[in-house]
Amino acid sequence: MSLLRRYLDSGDDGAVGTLVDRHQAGLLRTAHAILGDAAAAQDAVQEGFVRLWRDAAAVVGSAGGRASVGGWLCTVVRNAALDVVRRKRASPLPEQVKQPTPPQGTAVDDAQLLWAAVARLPELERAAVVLRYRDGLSYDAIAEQLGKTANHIGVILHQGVTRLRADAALAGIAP
Amino acid sequence: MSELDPRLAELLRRSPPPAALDEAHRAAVHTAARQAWFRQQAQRRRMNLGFAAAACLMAGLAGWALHAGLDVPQNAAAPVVAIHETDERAVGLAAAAPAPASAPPPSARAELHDDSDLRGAGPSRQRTAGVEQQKDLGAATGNAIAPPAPAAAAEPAMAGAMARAPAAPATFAAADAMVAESKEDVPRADQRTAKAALAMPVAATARKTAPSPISVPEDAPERGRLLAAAAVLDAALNHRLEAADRLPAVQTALASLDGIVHPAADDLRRRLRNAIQLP
Repeated sequence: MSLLRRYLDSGDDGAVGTLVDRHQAGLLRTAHAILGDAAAAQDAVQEGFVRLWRDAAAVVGSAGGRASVGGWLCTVVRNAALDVVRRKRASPLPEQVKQPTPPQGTAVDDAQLLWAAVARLPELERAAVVLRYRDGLSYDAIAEQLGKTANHIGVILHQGVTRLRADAALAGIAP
Repeated sequence: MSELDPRLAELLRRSPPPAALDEAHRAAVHTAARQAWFRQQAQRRRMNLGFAAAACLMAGLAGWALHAGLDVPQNAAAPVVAIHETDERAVGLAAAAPAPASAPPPSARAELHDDSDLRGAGPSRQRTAGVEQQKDLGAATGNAIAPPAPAAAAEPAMAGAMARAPAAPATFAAADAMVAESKEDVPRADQRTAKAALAMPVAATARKTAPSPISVPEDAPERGRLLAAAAVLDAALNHRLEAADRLPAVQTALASLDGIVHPAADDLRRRLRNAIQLP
């Protein structure tokens, strides 16, 4: 919060850089988990930071300055990513099934098939599965990132894993 | 709780998310930060200017309201010294001054001068009441009724005359004097007509010289001198001074105002000068 105050008081570019460095990794991980696309995740995170600069005074003033900038940013980026997903669902694009990062090693085809199956999951299930099995986050951390309770995350994960397992079995990459 | 197959989990872990914004997005974030900051500064400046303008407006309104509020009640609410009050103070001043030999004591004079209930009564009744009071006082103090004070003793004469003189309307007192002068050669039947004819210009003069009540503001400098002069003026205008006493008393009152710089003093000077010209 002090960095945001410094930015508000003097427009300090160093404070801006420090804030970006501090929060960008977690935000990108969440956005990527929801969107499944690195470029779209970058856009969502950029939008989150732009909104932060625009509403900096309100963020600093909210709850007497005790509000967490990280939590505020996470909520904004998650909502931006979910908006993108909803827009894509409304007008599906061919790129939706593409996966962002080409897997390394021999299992190229299996990875592509798996990510295609992940991309077909509903957005919350996809985000929960990716944050859990790719990033290794706990239920509580996932609940914090996605704005849900830990119990709800357990339910979502169960549904997502069941769906993904069936899809992978159909694709022949899982028993 | 179902767990994902370890092989699938391993496949997911092989494609890590982007760890940092690329250069284009980072530059866009910094540019947006600068723009937002400048926009907020401009907004803050506009807001400060608005507040300053509003504060100036409020201060102006408050000043105007204060001025308007003080202007009207200043005349209305300022303590206006009533004529009878100035008379009482003048009596007090006269008591401090050396009294003429035949003058009644100050307490008796004050009592004698309290003739407010006689104002508005007819001139004959007022004169009768004044004479009766003077007789009573003379009997009480053992002194004979004194003749009018000489003109040379201006201030004591002024105060004494004020105390002695009954309140009589200017019109009839002046007319009485003029009729008395010409009584010998005017037939008795025409005396009333002549008295009425003479009263008209005298009343006009009196109206010119006493257009408004005499007031001395509380904050006026040398207020005691102003009150004494106002009392003399009042007595002169209401012909409670004998003709022989009036001119020196008014001149003395006018001289006592020398050196006082105040609108009330200026007004008193002007009215005293007009009173000198009274017939």
